[in-house]
Amino acid sequence: MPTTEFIGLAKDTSVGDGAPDMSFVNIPHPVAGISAQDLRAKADRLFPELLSAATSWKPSNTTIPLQKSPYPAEVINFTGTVSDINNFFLSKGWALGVPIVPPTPERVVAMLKGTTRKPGEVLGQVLPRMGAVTVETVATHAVMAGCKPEYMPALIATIEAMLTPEANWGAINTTTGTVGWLIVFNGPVVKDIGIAWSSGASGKMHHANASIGYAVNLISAAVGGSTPPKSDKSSFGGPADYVAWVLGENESKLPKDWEPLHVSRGFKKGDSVVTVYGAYPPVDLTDHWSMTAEDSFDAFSSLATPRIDSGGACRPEKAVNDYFVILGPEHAELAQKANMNKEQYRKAFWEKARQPISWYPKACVNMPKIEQFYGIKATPGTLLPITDKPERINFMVGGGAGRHSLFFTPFWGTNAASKKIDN
Amino acid sequence: MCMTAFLAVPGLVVAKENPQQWTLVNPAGVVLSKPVKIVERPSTLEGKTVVLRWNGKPNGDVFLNRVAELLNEKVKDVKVVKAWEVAPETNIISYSPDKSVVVAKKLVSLKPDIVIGAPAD
Repeated sequence: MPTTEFIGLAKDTSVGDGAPDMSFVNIPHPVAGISAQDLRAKADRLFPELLSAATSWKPSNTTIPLQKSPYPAEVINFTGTVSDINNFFLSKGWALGVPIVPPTPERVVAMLKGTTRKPGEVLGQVLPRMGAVTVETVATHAVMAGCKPEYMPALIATIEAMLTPEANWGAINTTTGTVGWLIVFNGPVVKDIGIAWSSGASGKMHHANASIGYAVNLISAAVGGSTPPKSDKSSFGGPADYVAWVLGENESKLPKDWEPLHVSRGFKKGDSVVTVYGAYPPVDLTDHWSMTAEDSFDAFSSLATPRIDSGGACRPEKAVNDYFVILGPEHAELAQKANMNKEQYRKAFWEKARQPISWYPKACVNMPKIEQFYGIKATPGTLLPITDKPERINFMVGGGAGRHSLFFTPFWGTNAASKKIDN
Repeated sequence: MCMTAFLAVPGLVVAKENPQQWTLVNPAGVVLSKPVKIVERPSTLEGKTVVLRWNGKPNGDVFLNRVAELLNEKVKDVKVVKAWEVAPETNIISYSPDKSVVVAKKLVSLKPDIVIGAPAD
């Protein structure tokens, strides 16, 4: 029984799960945020239809088509201009509304030269459509996004990380939230393929960052079926739906004894690693005034809060999800001056970044769940931290000059996922 | 005068892109799914077990609570099981086929004749 606004997504999910024929009873949207009396009235009006669906509905005799092989991909013969191709791809949900490079077989073959992986290798399936993504599929979208062949290992590893359960790709593809991907690169790959890591790193003019960030979203749409309004239910959408946040860690500006992100996450310093994270748009932790790390925690604590992502007291389950802080170099320098190692900084940040439960909307505060997930005794006056423990906050250094850092919050049930980049 | 001069300059024509034949690789990827057999509906819910499943989204339980009341009121000898009360681990958005299987198996263990799910939102 999905609501009317979500019937398209429900049907797509059903098809992807192998049940193209499913019985649905549509509830007039919305269900959330209306009174119990109105909700009961909806149930009363729908009850006869529900009884009929429960007893009289029969599946149609739809013939399930023979399963096609995921490789090689079909080819399409098309007559037209490049503009016509773009319009056609957009109409099919294979483009996002900005230009793509037509994926001719020759271009895809040239792109595949950037990897030693076999083109027919199935990396996984993308929800909600359950389209299979092969290495060839990645190459096709890499062509469309304007990637260079040498980006292929990084892009393949990015897709593999996104396919892990922790990354929660299906949720990122379908939520009503304004979420997108943060993609961080560490290790030799940053220099090898020219991933920007300093000023404006996740903004414009950086070819590797932009084309990789574009390719992952093309795959989400075309392979995963994440297109608005049917399956991508984002209330607003956003720029990160076009190009993800992509940057390298600014390892040159790490405070003394701070390990880079990928080492914190269990990899060797010399490994090339990608970390993906499904997140809400970041808060810019702007602080032009603090002269010490201690003072900067004061400044950050008013901004770095799970209140902005309906976590914390509203969704205490998020207390056990990853959060992300990208320190700008000038803020990282304060940690260096204070001689704080990463763990000390993380703990101090976590201790300070707390807000009273009473600041959360009364309608969503769930005290038993707060106590369960945070492991504390809670009252409205309790200062709630971001997470149940500091280790859940990932810290890295990125970007360039300027007194800014970024605080990323997760989509519900989402954690960072990292993958080593091979060829 | 300037516009006339512009139009008179030879060779300054707007470039036109001519249609051509293309072969393009389909980017969509094949949907790989094993067909699932849908169980036939019972001809009546009288004497049957109806499991109501909520995914934790706001108000889904309120809606299903009313459905439970109506079933108990209008259907003779029906047994209504609220999954979110007896098996709270099913009270989640599964987000993946693997997790969906785990939830489905738990719902099956409640021995339903039919499951009614309210994804809400």
